[in-house]
Amino acid sequence: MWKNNENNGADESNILHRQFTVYLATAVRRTKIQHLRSKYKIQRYEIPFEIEDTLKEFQAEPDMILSLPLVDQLENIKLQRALEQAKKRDLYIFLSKVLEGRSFVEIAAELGIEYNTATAAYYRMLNRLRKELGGEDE
Amino acid sequence: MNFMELLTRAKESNAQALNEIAAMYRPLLIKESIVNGVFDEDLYQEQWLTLIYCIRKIRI
Repeated sequence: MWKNNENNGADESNILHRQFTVYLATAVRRTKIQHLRSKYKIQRYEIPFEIEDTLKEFQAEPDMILSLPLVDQLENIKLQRALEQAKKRDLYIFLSKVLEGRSFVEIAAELGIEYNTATAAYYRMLNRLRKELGGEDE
Repeated sequence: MNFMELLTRAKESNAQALNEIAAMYRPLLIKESIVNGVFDEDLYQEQWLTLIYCIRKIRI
């Protein structure tokens, strides 16, 4: 029912309804991630009573974390937030450069953009991360 | 009653308005309480708190 088909976004109330739905959906997703994360941490630091039982759980948990999208696997909340807020294209360029070690020429050719645009996006991401993380990596 | 009035009343802790919004968003909360195909009761409770928090926080 929350995907209301009658909502055409026409008047103020409908707009508010949509805003609220989006706001809630994001908050709820975040709660889920937070919940999984704290559950995982508790299990990691708990002192096991039954070693065999715990071994099973230890095997199950990392799988769950690994099955999440890349951004959700990160433990550093600041870093996660910074990556989530970045533009998709900038993020793509940045990750291709850092994780896959590709050159700007390759990336620019693939996305059909200028070489300078790719470098600018890369350094923009770099600066943003430095700012968000408080310059630890400098 | 449109959604704006509903939300305004819910903000004032009107029980009926809260119930209506709860009914509207219950499926979303259930969906986001399922982890690896298993329904997590604790998480479900947390999601209700999130809903109430969002109602309080959103600016009209």
